[in-house]
Formats: sequence, structure tokens, C-alpha cells
Amino acid sequence: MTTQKKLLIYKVLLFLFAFFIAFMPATALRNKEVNSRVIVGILGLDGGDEKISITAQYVMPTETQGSTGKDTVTVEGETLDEAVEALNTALGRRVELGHCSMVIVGSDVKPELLGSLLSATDVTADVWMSAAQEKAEDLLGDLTDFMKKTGATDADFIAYSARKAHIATNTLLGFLSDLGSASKTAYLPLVEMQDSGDKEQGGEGGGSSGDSSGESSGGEEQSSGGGESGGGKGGEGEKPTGMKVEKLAVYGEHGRVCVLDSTSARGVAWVSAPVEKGTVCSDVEYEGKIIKGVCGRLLKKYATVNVDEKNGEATIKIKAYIEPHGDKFNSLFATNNKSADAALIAGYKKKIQGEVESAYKDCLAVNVDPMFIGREFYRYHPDYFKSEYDYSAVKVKYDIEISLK
Amino acid sequence: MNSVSQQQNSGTALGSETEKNAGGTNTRETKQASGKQLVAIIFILAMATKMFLLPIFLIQSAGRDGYIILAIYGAFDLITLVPILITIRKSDVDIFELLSSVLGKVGAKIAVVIIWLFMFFKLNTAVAEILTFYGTNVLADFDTSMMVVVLLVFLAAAGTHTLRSLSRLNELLVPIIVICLAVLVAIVALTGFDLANIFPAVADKKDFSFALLKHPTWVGDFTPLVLFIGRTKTKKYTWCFAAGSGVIGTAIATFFALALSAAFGNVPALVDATTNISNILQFSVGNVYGRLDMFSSVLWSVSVFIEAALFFYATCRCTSFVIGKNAHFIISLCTCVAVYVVQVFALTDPMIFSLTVTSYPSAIITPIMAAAIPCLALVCTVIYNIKHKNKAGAVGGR
Amino acid sequence: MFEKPPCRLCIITCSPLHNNGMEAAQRILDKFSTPDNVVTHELKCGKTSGVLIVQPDLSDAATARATIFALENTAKNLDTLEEFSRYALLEYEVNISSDADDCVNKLLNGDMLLCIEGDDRYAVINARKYTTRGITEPPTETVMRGPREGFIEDLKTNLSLLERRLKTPDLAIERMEIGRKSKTSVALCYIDSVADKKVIKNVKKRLEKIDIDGIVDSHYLVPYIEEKPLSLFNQTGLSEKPDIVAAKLLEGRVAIFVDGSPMVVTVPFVMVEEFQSGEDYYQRSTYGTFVRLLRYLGLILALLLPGVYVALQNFHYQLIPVRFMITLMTAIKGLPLSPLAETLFVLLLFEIIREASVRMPRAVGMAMSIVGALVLGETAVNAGLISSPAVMVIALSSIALFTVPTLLGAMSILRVIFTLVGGLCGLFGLILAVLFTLHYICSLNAYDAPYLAPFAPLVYSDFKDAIERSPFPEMKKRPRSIPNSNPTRQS
Repeated sequence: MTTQKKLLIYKVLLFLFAFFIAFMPATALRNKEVNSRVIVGILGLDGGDEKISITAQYVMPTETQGSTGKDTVTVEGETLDEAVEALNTALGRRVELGHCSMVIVGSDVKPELLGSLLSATDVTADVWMSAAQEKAEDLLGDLTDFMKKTGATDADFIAYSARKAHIATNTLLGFLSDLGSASKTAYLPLVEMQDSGDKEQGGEGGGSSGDSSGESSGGEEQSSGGGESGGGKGGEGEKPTGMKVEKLAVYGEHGRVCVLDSTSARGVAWVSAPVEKGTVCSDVEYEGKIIKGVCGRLLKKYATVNVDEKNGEATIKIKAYIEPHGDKFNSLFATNNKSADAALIAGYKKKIQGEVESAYKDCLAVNVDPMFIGREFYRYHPDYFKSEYDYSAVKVKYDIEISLK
Repeated sequence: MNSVSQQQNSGTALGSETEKNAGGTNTRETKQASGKQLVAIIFILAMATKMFLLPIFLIQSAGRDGYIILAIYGAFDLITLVPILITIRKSDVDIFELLSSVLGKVGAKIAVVIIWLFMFFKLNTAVAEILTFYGTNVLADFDTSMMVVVLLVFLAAAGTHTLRSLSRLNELLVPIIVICLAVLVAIVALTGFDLANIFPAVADKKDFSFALLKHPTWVGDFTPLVLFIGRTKTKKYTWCFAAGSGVIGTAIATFFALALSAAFGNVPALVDATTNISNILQFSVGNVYGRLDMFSSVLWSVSVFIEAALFFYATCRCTSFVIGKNAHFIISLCTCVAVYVVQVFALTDPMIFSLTVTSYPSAIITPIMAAAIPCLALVCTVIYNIKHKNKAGAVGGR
Repeated sequence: MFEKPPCRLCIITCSPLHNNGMEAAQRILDKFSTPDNVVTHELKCGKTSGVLIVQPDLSDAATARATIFALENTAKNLDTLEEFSRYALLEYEVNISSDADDCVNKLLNGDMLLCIEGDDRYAVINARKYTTRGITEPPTETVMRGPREGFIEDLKTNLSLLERRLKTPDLAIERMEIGRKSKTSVALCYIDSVADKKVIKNVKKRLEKIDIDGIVDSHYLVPYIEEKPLSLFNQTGLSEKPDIVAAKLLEGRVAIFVDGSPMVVTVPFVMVEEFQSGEDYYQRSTYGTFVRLLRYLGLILALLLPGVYVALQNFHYQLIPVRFMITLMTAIKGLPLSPLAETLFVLLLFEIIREASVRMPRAVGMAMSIVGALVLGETAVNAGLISSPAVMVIALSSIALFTVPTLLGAMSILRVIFTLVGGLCGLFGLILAVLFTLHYICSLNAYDAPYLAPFAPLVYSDFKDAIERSPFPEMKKRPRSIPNSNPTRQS
């Protein structure tokens, strides 16, 4: 073919291509632009078998450069897809779920709903999950007010807080994967809001809730240890003043089974969650005296569950690197005595073991396995798991090793 | 004389490949690819489609054991690579001349028609995968028929130009792909991924066997390398490096399949075309920086474009040989039309694509062809070399 | 000096026909459509008489005067052209020719023709003198360090600038004339022991095939010597600096000088040369490497930034970090144009401003620049026609384009295409467009030099001067990407 002919064919094809491109939908329609979407920052799910309720905290740009406004909207639907469609209708634009940073799950939500959330919507597998005491809608409302007050733009601060407080966090895929494992158990941190009517303030910290519990990127919260500050909207005129992430909601196959208190929650975190922040405080017995509240920073930890099918045993091994600090430690340290170190190590060991044991006992009582002992048996001894394994009959041992830095 | 291009085109009057003889049979003197380019292409072929949608299908069928099946397919492909490499090393003429010399003109054309069918099938599989991946991940709600056109423009360019251009393009892109893969591997390695989720291995033997027998459509990735026969300048250890790159590519594909299997091993029902390595690696970067992992995934997915281009090129060359004309532009155009018709009208639904690639006919025929084509090339090379040795001996004897 | 005698032609035509000198002169004058273009001077040449024909616009008047004086006064006993050239005109370059066409050519180049009675040959006396501009720094290749000499429009001067830098008998200069009417002098230069013979032969063949009325600039030759003249990409190098041309010749290239043009064409050409600047070699190697990396980065930004920006806005929201997405949404709220249209509009504005700034007179340049900046930067954004992120993106892209000014043409067009493709087909289309372009570039292969070498095909040894600028002691071999017949540069 001559160059002229080829050039002519190229020109014709180019013209056709340009014509074709010009009539592509994107050229004329503007419904694909970023401004045609609404960014959903946090999603709340409520509902059991009948109706599903979605509460979305959406973000709107305001006139001021770089600032955003937040608000919430609640819709219902019989299925998740219907609820999402209702959300699109309620907001007047298509929601952008890909930027959702957290999903809050109400007490009555079934795990299958979360599976649909992952597979049928744009919510990413890595979205942080948390649980509400009762209804996600209430918690999300309070959280929105709180975020407006503190100027937080997304919910990552909650995960940050949880990790700093040594509370196990989980992502959507992690949650579903844990639930789908042989242990059929998963957990979510329980987020609670403190409101101005809450009288129990200033926690003693009794354990490793640490000084940073509930700290967010811009807020000033107070920690309260073990108090009952509800996650929902309190009485009239009560505004959220702070946030708490101390407890753990544990789920089984059919839904939420229990809520672990802060001690047991930390016990689960020691074993199952890759949490490496937080403070460890314990009482140390030294030279006949009991020194209360010697605290240390957790630097690193390694946790494994080793299983022995022959004896039906599971050994929980934890190795923690702790950096003690504070005046109480300093006074101990001043003695420059190896037995002081040993006492410190013993104290921490006791503390950690206590928390892990508490977690195990509480979970055993309701037949859930958030330490994934069953999963370990299934992984390495599948035949034993299928035939003989009985969670309640497993003998659990603890091997805690502390290294002071 | 040491210029690079002359090394690639060492020869006599034929010199560099022009469009006139881009698919020509008399390529004794024309070397289109260097050993380095062959190594790079093998790396891409080993990895490309096996990292795309195959892990999804395998996890859906076999759960956490999907990576084992992928490793088995990879090993099969590596075995079929061996005769190809031997043929490339030993033969000075291209596959078409080999076949013509051994099987005769008619026999060669029949063989090439069968090879063409296989290449066309693999081409459509690769294109459908690309469309499915991009259509569900990166370009949701985008019209497939438009996407196909855009893709076909690139493929047509690959079909019109020479093997040299494609080899160079691949050589240029491989370092970028390697860097992206390194980033992804680092993310997987550093984020404390729970790889122990792959245990226990082969817990359900029935599901495992069923999945193994259902997905062999993804083998045969190395078959287009037959086009490199007689057109590659190889050195002493080229075949070593080539085999090594195949192993590395397969290992990388297996590693990522392992990571995906570990992530979704407990929830295989949640896996679909939106699931890929980018999804689970999001664990590490989080929402703050956006979907950086998707960006790097998009870059490595370029390797699938290259593989599709190679299959397209192979299809065009086979067509050119069968019809006996070197009208590359027209042939490319017609092949584009054929692919468009198949993609838009036949494979329009991802479900149809899924059913096609997991059907028993394709599961049986594909591995047979994947093994037969290299073996045929090797046998023809041996016969050709013997013939020529005898001829040379007879001439010398006079 | 040259007073045209009245009815000069009459003098010639009225002369007796047996006067051969006059006939010879008449032959020359007959070739001119307006013989008044040249001046003839009848004079006494030694024992005989003759005619001196001069082109007054191109010849040196002093030389003409001196020649006439010499012939009339000092050549009294001479009567042949050979004797005149040897004894009377020995300080001038004189050739004797009987080819009238060739002599007309030489006359039009500024030489003088001497015809004598009884001889139908011509003595061609070199008296060329043109008014040319001085040697200055070329405006397109300014440097902070290094030589500042640049080529000018005079071929002789240009060749002398080159010969000063390559004082080797190996420097081959082959001259030819191209253009039926313009008869432009063209010189093909190469170093005989370095350049590849096939390349030289190929270039010469292509140049000899040119059949054109005239060429006025070296760029006229480019389409004839390129393999794919319709391509968007340069396949020949262009330089105005003698040091750069000398360096390129030392690497095995061939240079083409054209009389009347300060731009010298070099072949073969590979794309990596676009990223090499003379100044890289006059700075420290580390800084040279850093600057080269910046150029590559600049090019990528220039080409892809607008396309990626539009693609992300239209299709890939998930790739945009949340905080940036909110900023973007605030910025583009209420705009009348779609992101693609807005970006193309801003692109077009920038291209217009760029083109206008090149053409506009200096007197109004400053004022118009301010107007342009205000119109775009301030007013249009405040009026809500375009958004500030779009202006910022296009401005950054446009500035980045100038890190590689030689690629300005190709990249400007590609930038628009990529923006269009990105806006219509998202990252999918953008990636394919980039692949298509790269594939096309990989297919370019002129004079046995792969265009994208040393990247594709990978030539490790050439990386010393590709992205990196290695120190000179390490660059022992000539680049393998360019065919040459002597790979060793230094031992």
C-alpha cells in the first residue's frame, strides 16, 4: 500500500475515532464528575432481620477554603442495596463510599450484612470497624457533633485512639475473615461517647487504659475507667464531650454475643490484635511493699498461640518489650537492684496474664474464641479439629515473657 | 561494527525488518529481538494474566488453596517453556519456515490455522480479563464497547509494527513493572500479613481437584514465544536467564496469589472481580493517602496489555502466513473487528466469560495446545536441522 | 565605483562577432533575465583586451578595483588567462573554467569572471564578501558556563568554527549544492575514522536525491533525511553551537551545514539527545545528573499531569485522598464547564499566551504578560469560569515542558491528546495512550540507531550519558546506540 493511501486511511480512522470519542457519554454528561458525588466519611448500620437502617455521615465542602461541613442522614431499606439507593435519593447525589473511613455496627446487625457491604458496595476491605453500644445511628450523631467540635476530618483518629489505648481494632475484611475462620469469632472495639451529663469522670486507669485513651487529633477527652457512659444521645442538652474506646464487642456466627469490659478487652488485644501502643500499668511487690501503678510504655509485642493436639493444650505465648517510666519506676530504678527489675517484670507479667486470663474466662463463658485457639488447631491439626476438638475442654497455658527496655 | 541495532539485525541484504516482510517467512538473516528482550518478555508472560483474575476464580473454587493450583499451572507453563527455549536456541529460521519445510506448505497452513485458533482464543481471554478488571475496578459504569475500541487501537498498533517494536516496548516497561511489584511485595511483607491463613493446605481435596481441572484455560502463556524462533539473537547463557525469569515471574504470581488466598481464604464467597491485590494491600496505606496501591496495581497491570499485544501480534502473523500476504495493516484491522465482535456480542457479560473460560472444552483443549505447540516446534526444528545437515553433507560429499 | 556605461549591451552586441572575449561574456549575460544585475567592465589586459563581470551585491569592491588595476598596469606583457592568474593575480584564488553554467553559478556566489579576447574560457576570481552578523550566543541554547559562540548564516564562518575545534585531517567536509534556483551550498561533515560508512552513504544518497527549487534553511532538508518525516518526533538533531556539533561528530554522527542557516542538522539522532544539554558537560557530573533527572521528571509531569488530573476527577475518585478531594470539590463548585472542557480551555489559553509571547514586540511584551497573567490567574478564577487547581496544574505542566525545549512541539500536541483521552477514558485510556506512544517511539529506527536507545533496546554502557552524566574519564567508549567505526574514545 502506498504511503498516500495509508495516510488517507489513518486520517479517516482518526476522524472516525474523534467522532466516536466526541459522542461518548463522558463528553456530554456531567454526572461522572467528582462534584456529582457526596463523600461519606462514616457509615452506621442498624437493623436485624427485617429492615436495615443506614446512617451516613457525609462531608460537604463549605465556602471557606479547605473546610468542610458534616451532617448525618438516616435511611431505611429492606436490603442493603435498597438502603444504599435510598441514601442516594436522600442526599440527591450518588454517594461515594470508597472514601468511607469507618463503619459503625449497631447491636442488632447480623454479620451477613457486613459481607454484603464488602462485596456489593464500594466500601473498601480496609475500612475500620467499630461497634455501638446500642444503635449506630445515635453514636454516629454524637460522633458527628464531636468531630465538628474538634475539627477532625475523618474517623482515623478513632482507630488511632484505640491502638494507642491498646484496644484491638479490626477492618471489615479482617472482621469477616475472623468470623469465617474455624473459631467463628470476631471482635470490634466499642466506641462510646461521654456527654456533659456523665458524672463519672477521670478514670483511675486501673490497667493499661493508659493516659492516652480516647485522645483524638484535636480533642480534650477524659478517660473514665469502666464507667457507664452511654454511646447514645443522652438527655436533652447533653452534648458529647469526649470519646471512649475501652470495651470490645465480640461476635459469633449469628451476631453480637457479648461486650467485654476493659480488662478482658485488653486481654484479647494482647493475643489477637497487632496492637503495639499503649501503656501497661501494674502493681509491683518489692521488698514487702506494694507499689501501685508502675507504668510502662509498650514498645513491641509478639504473641502466638501454640497448640498441642496430643494433650489438647494451647499455650498462649506473649513476649512484650516494655519501657517503664514515671516517678514510681524511677524510685525503683534508683535502687539499681536486679531484684527490683525482677519485681517489675513479675508485676507486668501478672498484670498481662491477668488480663488474658480474664478475657479467656469471659469468652469461654459465652463460647466465643476471640483468641483464635480453635483456628490454630484447625490450621495445624485439621483432623483433630474436625473430630475431637472441644473449645471448652482445651487446657490453656500462659507463657508471658517481659523484656524491659 | 558494534551498533546495537546492527547486532539485532545482523544479516545481509535483508537488513532490518521492514513492514514488507514483518511477518515474512524468509527471516533467516533477520534478528528482531535480543536475548535480553526475550528474557524480559518471558518474565511478563509468566506473570501477567496469572496475577489478574485467575486468583479470584481459584479462590472462589478452591478457597485458601487457590495459590497451590496457580503454582501448578505455573509449573506446567514452565515445562512447556523448555522446548520453546531449545527451539529458539537451535533454530535459525522462523516457525513458519520450519513448519513449511517439515510439513509442506499445505500441512504448515493447517497447523498454523490451529495455532491461530488457539492464539485468537487466548487473545480474547486476555482482552476480556482486561475489560473485566478495569470495568469493575477502575472504570465502573463505563461502556465495555467503548473500552474495547480504546484497547484495540493499541493492539492494532502492535499488530502493524514489528516484533522488534513490541520487544523494545516490553524491555522498556519491565523495570517499571518490577519496581511496582517490589513496592507491592514490600507492602505485603511489612504489614504483618497473616499468611498463616493458608493453612491447612488441601483440606478439601474434592474442591481442590475440581478447581484444578476447571481452570487450565490460563496455561499456555508462553505459546506466542514461538514467534521468537529464528528471530532472536541468543548468547550462550540466554536460555538460562530466560528460564530463570520464567521461574521468577511464576514465583511472583504465586506469591501474590498466596497473599490473596490468605486474605480471603476464610471468606471465598466474598471474592469477585473487584478483588485484587490492590484491595487487600490497602490495609497498609490506609485512607489518608488514597488508593496508592491501586495506582501501582494499575501500573503492573500494564503487563497484561503487553501480553494481549503479543497474542494479537501472533494472531496477525498467523493470519498473514495463512493468507500468504503481508498486508499487516489490513490484517490488524480485521483482527480488531473480529475481537470487537467477540467481546461486545459474545462475551458481553462477565458471567459468559467466566463460564467460557471454566468450561470443560476449553479446560481440555488449552493445556493440550499449550503443550503441543512447543513440542511441534521442537520436533520440526530437529527434523529441519537433520535435513539441512544431510543436505550439507551431501553437497560436501560431492 | 561601478558606473554602468550607457548601452553596455550595445557595446557588446555592436562589437564584431569575431571578438571571442565578448562572445564569452555575452554567453554569461544571456543567462540572466535582467543582465543589469551584473556589471561588466571592459579593460585592457596585458597585450589583449578583456571583460570583467562582477556581481556588485556579493563581491568585494576593493578586490574588483585591485584586479582591474593589476590587469591594466602590471600585466602588460601577458596575454593568456594562465599567465594572468599566475603573475598578475597571484594573490587571489583563481580557477579557469570553460563551463558557462558553472561560471554563472560562481558569479552568483560572488566570484568575478574574467574573459579575454580570443579565449572562450573564464577565469573565476574569488571576490566573495557578504555582510553577515557577528558571532553571538545563540538565543535557543543559552548556557551559564561553557562556550558562547554560535553558528551564523555564513557557511564559511560556520565551517571555520567547526574546524577550529576539530583540527584533524580526518575531518571530512563534502560540499554540494542543493536547489535548482537557490543553489544553496551544503556541507556534509563527519570524522572519517569514526563515522559509520553506511550512515554517510545513506545521508549522501538522500541529499543527492533532493530535487527542489531552493532551500533557505537547514530545516528544509530534514524531511528528506528522516526515515519518517510525518512523525511527531524529531529524528534529526539541530544545534546552533559549534562545541555541540563537534562533540556529536566525535561520537560518530554526521553534520549537515547549510549556507544561510545557523542551524546544523546532525544524524543519527536518538531521543536521549533531547535531554542532553551542552551545559551538562560544563558542570560537575553530579549536578549534570541531577539536572537530567529533573528534565525526565519535567517531561513526565508536563505530559501526564493534565490527563491524570482530569481522569481522577472524572472517573477515579477513590484514588484522590479525602482531604484533597474536599479541597478540589470546593474549588470546582459551580463551574460552568466540565473538568475536561475546563482543562482543555486552560490548556488552549496557555498555548495562545505562549505563542503570542514569542511573536509580540518587546515594547508591549511586559504589559501583555501582566494582562495575560491577570486574566488567567486572577480574573477568570474569580469569575468562576475556571478553577485554581486547573490553572495550577496546567501552569506546572507548561513550565515543565520547557525543561526540554526541543521537544516542545511534540509534547504540546501529545499533552492535549493525553488530556482528551484521560478525560474521556480515564486512566485506562491514558495508560493505553502512553503505551501506544511508547510503542510508536520504539518502532522508530533511523540510520540503524534505535530511537529510544539506550532504554529500548537496553544498552547498559550508554547509560553513562543517558540519565546519568558520568565523569569524562569513565566515558571511555563511544555510545553504542550510534553506529560508528571506532568505539574507543579514550584508553
